[in-house]
Amino acid sequence: MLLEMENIQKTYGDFTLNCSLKLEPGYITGLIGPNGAGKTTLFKSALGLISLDQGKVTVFEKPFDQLSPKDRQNMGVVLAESGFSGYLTIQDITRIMKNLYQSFDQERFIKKCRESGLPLNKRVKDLSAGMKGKVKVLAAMSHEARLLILDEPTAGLDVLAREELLDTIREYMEPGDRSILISSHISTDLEQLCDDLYLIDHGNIVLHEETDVLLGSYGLLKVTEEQDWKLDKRYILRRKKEAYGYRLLTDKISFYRENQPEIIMEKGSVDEVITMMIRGERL
Amino acid sequence: MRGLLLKDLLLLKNQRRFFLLFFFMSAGMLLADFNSVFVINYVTMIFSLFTLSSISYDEFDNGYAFLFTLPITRNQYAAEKYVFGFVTGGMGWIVVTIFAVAMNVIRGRAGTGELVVMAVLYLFISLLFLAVVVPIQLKFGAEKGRIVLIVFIGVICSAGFVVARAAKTLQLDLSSTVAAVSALSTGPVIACVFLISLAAVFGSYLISVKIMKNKQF
Repeated sequence: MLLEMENIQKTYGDFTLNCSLKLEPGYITGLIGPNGAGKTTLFKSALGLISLDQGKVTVFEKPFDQLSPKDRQNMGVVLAESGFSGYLTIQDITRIMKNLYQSFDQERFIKKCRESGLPLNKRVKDLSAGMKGKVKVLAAMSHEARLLILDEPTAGLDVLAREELLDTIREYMEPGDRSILISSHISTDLEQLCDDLYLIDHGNIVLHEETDVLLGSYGLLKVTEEQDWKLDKRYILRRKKEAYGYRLLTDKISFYRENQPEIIMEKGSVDEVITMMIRGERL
Repeated sequence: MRGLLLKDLLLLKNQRRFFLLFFFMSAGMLLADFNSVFVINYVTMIFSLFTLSSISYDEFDNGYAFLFTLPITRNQYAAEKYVFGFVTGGMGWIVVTIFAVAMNVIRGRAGTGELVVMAVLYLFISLLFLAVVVPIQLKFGAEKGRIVLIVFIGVICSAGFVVARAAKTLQLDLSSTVAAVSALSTGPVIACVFLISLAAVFGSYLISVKIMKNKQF
């Protein structure tokens, strides 16, 4: 396991993060949740930036506080609200990275920056939001890290730049021994990219599922009150009141397709699942 | 550590005008025949202060969070701030001391040796200065740190004033103590100041490490 968070707990005022998470080797694991759900707190916990009230974080099979700077060289990080000082240029960042990471590939980093149209001698603070995002991601991927932790790496990027970035991430995974924990508020990004997804809400993991299963087996049923009353609810996870009756979320749509084909059904999308898991009533 | 030092040196580029201004100002002061020891002390202190502005750059825009995802420890970060302060202070000190000595020689004055000895003394005193200001800046940050530093200097001055008043009230003669210290040969005094400064920097470093370890980002 490249990253494991076991029953971690952190309380800030009336908010409590309380969750567990595993990042398997060779996996891209996505973290989704509404604003304020605890994504950033979870990332900060994984990176030892905040102290935990309970639980433990293990990276490369070692407790986080026992990681050496050499182990840390195997991690690449993008944080949504923090990065290299905006007063540095990409040229400066290149020199610093060269002195921090033994495996830093200077030529490749500069080449990638040029290909992305990033000016090497302009201060980062004077770049557009999209350009700043690209610099962060390229820097995180520049030193052969086995573990990437990317908090909102697509924030501020337009559609084309996002697609380009997702391709770069896929390409990065080619050696096979690398893993990525990534969060994004754009669920389609994660749908395309991730092997499994964690859904977080109010500091708790409310769903963990393989992406294929989520897109293939999960679905929505639209039923009248009468249909709802008669329905076999063994595989119903959430229910939400609608004008026509109820909208139901199931994790076994095939069961209902076979047994109650008269019901209106839709395939699940990550957005629908999020909405139902958070807003729906638990049965 | 090398990466951190390089980062701070590269950030120093943003203050190059300030940097040059001080060089020219101190050169002007020496040309105008100001007290050389004062100019050396002044420049060394001011240049040591660049470590404080490097801390401000680090904390600006939530920069600490990303900084501590890099392959560095909090101990290394704290240590680097002292090294950087000593490097920048030392750079200023070397240039101004060489200039002051050259001016002394050109003016054909005696006491060049004493000038160098005093310069070395103030180099060590700048370490003491770092020992005080670095943990304050790390603990309180740029804004509050400035206020705490002003209060700290105020307390030191008040303490000096109180001691002088008490001596006067109690009719103690401090001038004999001052004269006795002045009469000591410079070698042991410098050695003492050096050891005290080193001890202060080490103690201060331990405090800074504790401050950094308790910080959450």
